[in-house]
Amino acid sequence: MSGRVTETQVAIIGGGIIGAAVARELSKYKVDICLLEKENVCGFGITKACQGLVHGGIAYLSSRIVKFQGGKGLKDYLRHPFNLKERMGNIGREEYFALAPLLREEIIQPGRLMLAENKEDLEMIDLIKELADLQGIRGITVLDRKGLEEKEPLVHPKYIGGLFDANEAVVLPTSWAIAFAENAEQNGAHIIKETEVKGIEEKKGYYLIKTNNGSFKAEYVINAAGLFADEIADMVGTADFAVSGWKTQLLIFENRDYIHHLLCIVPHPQKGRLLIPTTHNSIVVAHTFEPMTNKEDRSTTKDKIDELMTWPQDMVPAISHKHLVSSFTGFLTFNTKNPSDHLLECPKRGFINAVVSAPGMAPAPAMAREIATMLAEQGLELTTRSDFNPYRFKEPRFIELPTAEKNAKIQADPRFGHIVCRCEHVSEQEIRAAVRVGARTLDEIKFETLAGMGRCQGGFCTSRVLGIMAEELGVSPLDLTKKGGGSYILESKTKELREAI
Amino acid sequence: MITQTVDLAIIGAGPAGMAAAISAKKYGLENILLLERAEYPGGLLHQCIHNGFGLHYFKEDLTGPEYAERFINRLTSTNVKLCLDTMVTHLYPDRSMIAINPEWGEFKILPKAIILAMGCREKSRFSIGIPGSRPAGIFTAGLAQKLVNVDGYLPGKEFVILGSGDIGMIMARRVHLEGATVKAVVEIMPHVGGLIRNEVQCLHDFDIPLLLEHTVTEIYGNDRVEGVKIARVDTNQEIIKDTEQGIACDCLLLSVGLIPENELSLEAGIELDSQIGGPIVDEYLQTNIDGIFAAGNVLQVWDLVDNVTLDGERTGANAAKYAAGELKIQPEEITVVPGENIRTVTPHRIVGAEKVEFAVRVQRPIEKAELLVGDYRKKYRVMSPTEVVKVTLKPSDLDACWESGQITVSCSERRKEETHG
Repeated sequence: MSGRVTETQVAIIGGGIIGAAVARELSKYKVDICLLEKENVCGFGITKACQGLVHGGIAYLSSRIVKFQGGKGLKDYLRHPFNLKERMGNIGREEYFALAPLLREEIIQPGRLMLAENKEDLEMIDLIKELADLQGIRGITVLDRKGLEEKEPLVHPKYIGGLFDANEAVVLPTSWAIAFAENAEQNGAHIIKETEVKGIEEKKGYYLIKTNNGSFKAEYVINAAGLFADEIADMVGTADFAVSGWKTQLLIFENRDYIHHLLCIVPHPQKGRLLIPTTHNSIVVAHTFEPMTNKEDRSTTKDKIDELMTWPQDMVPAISHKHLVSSFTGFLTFNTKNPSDHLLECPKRGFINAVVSAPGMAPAPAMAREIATMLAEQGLELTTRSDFNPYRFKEPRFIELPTAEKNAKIQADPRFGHIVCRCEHVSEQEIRAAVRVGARTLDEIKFETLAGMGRCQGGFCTSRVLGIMAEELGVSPLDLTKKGGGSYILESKTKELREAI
Repeated sequence: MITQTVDLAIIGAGPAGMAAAISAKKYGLENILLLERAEYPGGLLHQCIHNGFGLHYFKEDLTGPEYAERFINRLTSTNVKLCLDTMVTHLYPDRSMIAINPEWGEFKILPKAIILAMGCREKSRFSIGIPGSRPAGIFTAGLAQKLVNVDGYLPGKEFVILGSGDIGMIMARRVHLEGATVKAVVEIMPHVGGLIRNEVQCLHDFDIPLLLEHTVTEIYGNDRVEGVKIARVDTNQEIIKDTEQGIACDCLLLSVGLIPENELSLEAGIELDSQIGGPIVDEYLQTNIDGIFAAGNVLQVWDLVDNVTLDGERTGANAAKYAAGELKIQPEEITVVPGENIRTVTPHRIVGAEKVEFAVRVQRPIEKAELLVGDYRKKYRVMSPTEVVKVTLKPSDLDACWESGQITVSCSERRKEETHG
């Protein structure tokens, strides 16, 4: 296998939100595309553990305020023209709304509610409002306590006012990366998973990319390797930057009508308390900061979990500790070359570094378009495909179908009527279908179907799902893993261990 | 869409639901639908292959499947319509329901009365926030029990068990008997979480180490669990520094508590007790929505299945009375107030003029205890938070309470003169 060489015009390294969006953008044209993803699912790298915010409105203003080092001239500083990050963020955000119906993905716009605790906070809010007006940002309202309560009845009594920004939007990040990649694939792009780039040789007129899964000969390379973009750049000697940043820990709570908007406090450096209502009826509590020392370290720690546990209580006391669903770790990264902006450059002919500085969700569609333009400038011929299908083919979730369609499906195959995952209401047939389109691990089933994603975290359905997977694949449940490699789930059949002793 | 119009719909055919169906039938209800998610009735009893079931109800020592079988046999001798493989997906405040099964597709149910008998679920690793990596090899004890006893697979070779709930201790013995090693059962409290008899019969009898006032502070391993870190805790359950130690293991089981399964109840607008997690009920086990009753672990997590069965029988009878218009509700009501040393008490309110059965769980273990329910007193050698105590009051015991509209339940150590007297 490793001796095989695949020829392609464009190789995209990394199937996170950026790489996947690029693949879809390029699939509009008559271009050979190979996307190389080291995980077994697109969006399972840094994309998976980001907060899913698609910023709009005052978010970029707030981050400028945080960066401003004090002294006079804040207003002037805030009047500086948009940088790449802000520009692409704003364009990209609009594109998400346009893409949602095409890609059959969800984007919600709960808006952002900034909470003010004291007079200084209120002054800051007035300033933000003034600046938002100057920049022509619409949908911003200053609220008193009563206005706050109308929006969020359960908010802590200590907050005396706030600012509402109607623009903030939220997506499920991995889902979108999968959606981009699937639509690209349906339009002819090759999405090649479990393929890790080990080295790149610069040849005459092409790059030879060596992986654990054969070699790829590509005229153009897009480095969208996220956390590892510096290592990829280093392979062709263009790494005059590193990917650096913070490790951040987050919690997920059930959202039993506790909050309806994204809640935050007024901007402070390295203090980003957020309660984010997600598309799946949960609340993400974000996020703590600590230096990122190891890019593979996704572990959570007790001190940070303890710290995060106090935040919801402090903002919306009704959110009980009992409704904690999960905890996880993500990274907020930046490139050291331009820490406050994205890095989009072409340091070598045909080789593009596309490295975001957080936040990276919002800019993805705009950045994909920009990369297509850069490739054209590099000589790639972009001829529009007349048969490009912008609609992603995706079976809707069974449980979301209207009754008549549900019943037609059940009549055709009664296994649709057999609900396996009781929290997310996933049918047996959907799990079989996921295996048939390539899911091999419990985690893949979870992301494809949502089985095991709910409040019991697989406590009830795991045994059933393992049985169905084993049957579909014609293997023993002992051969199945949680996430590939050595992540086996079952040790042995009963009695075997005892007999061995 | 098929519509089923029935007198009574029961959600869940575990011990509570089966007992409710049999009892409702006995009290004269004809048209009963018993809805069960699994392909067989009995709920989780079929995976509880150990003994200890029915000691109170049958005065016999049965295994889980044997206990279930008795009710399944009684059930099949009635004309209760048992719908297996049926998932109730919606429950609305007007008592209409939506369900799905392979036979009828998505269908509607219009019942006169409903009994909630959905049981409970286990807390997961994440709901208690154990830090560390996210490898394979972490299971709730109940899932492990299903994998071992029903599916026939061992999920590991070297176990650490966090929490000493009953299922955790029972699984410690079970995997030990399978030839696996249980390195430790780790419990944050100064006493086990489950029944004392399980501590003796499942841990001590097999020399399985029990570490009280300890907890798991971290999980190791990237692909598969490679070990955990444990530490001592102080009386506030805070970790004591420098007491951390590593234990190598390939499997971590969690027995850290059960939560009543009330998602449908919430959709219907049923008020829940935030401490217990189950519906707020009156002494008929009726919720705040007329005609919707709750029985068994969906209401409060019981230690013994016998109590679950008794709950089921009560609601079955009450739902039958309700459907016949014979459930007598007073215009006034008495609020039940949990007082000193009381963690939970049901019912939450009293609305009738009949006897009232209280179920009380105390906050901390109390020796030579006296339980006070209004003016009614009862003495106990010991009361422990791991066991629910039941006490029944006659209508006359409540006479004084109708005026004030409340009754307080409390528990304390008996005063000296009383103990000596």
